Amino acid sequence: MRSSVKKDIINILEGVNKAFTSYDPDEIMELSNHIIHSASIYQEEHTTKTAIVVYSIGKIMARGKIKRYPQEAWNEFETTVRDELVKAVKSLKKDGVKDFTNSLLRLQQAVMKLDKSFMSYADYVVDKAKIKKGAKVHEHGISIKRIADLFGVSEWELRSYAGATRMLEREKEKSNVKKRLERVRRFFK
Amino acid sequence: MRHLVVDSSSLISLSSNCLLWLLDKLRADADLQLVATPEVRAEVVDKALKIERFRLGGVRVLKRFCNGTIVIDETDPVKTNKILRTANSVYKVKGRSYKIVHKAEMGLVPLAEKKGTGLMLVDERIVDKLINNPLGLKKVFERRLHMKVEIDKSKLKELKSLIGDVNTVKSSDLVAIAYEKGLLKEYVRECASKKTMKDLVSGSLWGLKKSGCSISTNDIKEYNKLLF
Repeated sequence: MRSSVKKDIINILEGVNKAFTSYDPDEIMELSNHIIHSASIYQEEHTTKTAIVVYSIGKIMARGKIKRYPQEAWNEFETTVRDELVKAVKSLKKDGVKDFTNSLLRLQQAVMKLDKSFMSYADYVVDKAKIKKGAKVHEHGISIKRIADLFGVSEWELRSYAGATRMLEREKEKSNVKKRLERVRRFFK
Repeated sequence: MRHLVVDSSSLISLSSNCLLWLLDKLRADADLQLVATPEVRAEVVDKALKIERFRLGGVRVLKRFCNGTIVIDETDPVKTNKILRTANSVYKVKGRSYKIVHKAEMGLVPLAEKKGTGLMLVDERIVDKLINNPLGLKKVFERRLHMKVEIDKSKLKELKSLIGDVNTVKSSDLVAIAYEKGLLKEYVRECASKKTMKDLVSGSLWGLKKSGCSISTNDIKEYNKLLF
């Protein structure tokens, strides 16, 4: 793993640990946005997986505020997240990439376990996280097909999400419809 | 016969809005033959059939493979890899190549050349901008990454040479051309009026946009101005 990527992930996870302890889901969501820059530039699995896990934790916490999870399930989740965040950072500092990856996996599994214990429909946090973070990377100028591979989602899911955003409106580009229409008219002549 | 190489992005937009029948119409009326790579079919049909939410969309596209509106053909893998490597080394961020496109997308160019067509049907905005406005794409990167992005001019020149005259059109352009050819009339035959036709075109464009076709609100206004 590149040292700049490692440094970025360590900073993010230490931030997440702090925000998790003080029950600040907004800060965690902000941290998940921050790592998108690295995910776009380096496009390697550790940054994308970290982005997904961090966002998922933030989302679970945000839901927890509004819809109370069963206490026992929440306590188990809390313990796992705290332990694994510390382990993940320790592993990365020692260049233990395999151990770090395993911690990420356990974090994801903890989110999925809590999520499934509560949600009765197939709208799971981790799946949503992949789409949402993938769409964010697309805003950074990476093609959807490329992102679909990176995040392990289908193009169908990403396109339907990306189409609903106001990304193109924010870019305020000059229209080239006229040129393209002329092109297609020539083609069909 | 007119060949048009098609990307998964456009098939997804069209299928999601039940507009694939336009391709059947254009085939019958304008002798249009759509050509897709096996990778495109794998994404838009095989993957979709495994996801409940998109299964019907996948079947809609599958129908067009079965009825011959879309045929499969192989692209040139050597040329594809060359175009991909070049495209993904045009832009540099922090001294590294900023990789922006996928092999399946760049594979459309050699296939378009093979079929003797100058056009690819692609709704993906990055591919369109890379071919038509690479400087504009640089500005998008800089805005989003909040850092300087360099263009490797020799790679850009090489890319332009590899792509040649091949260019892109979008599924929204097919809606426009179908309207101009009168192919939409039958759809609203029972409630034919100027307003209904305008609503059909405008509604189709909005539907395509919401399904990922990279057209903006301004683009839709421009279509309305040019067509009506």
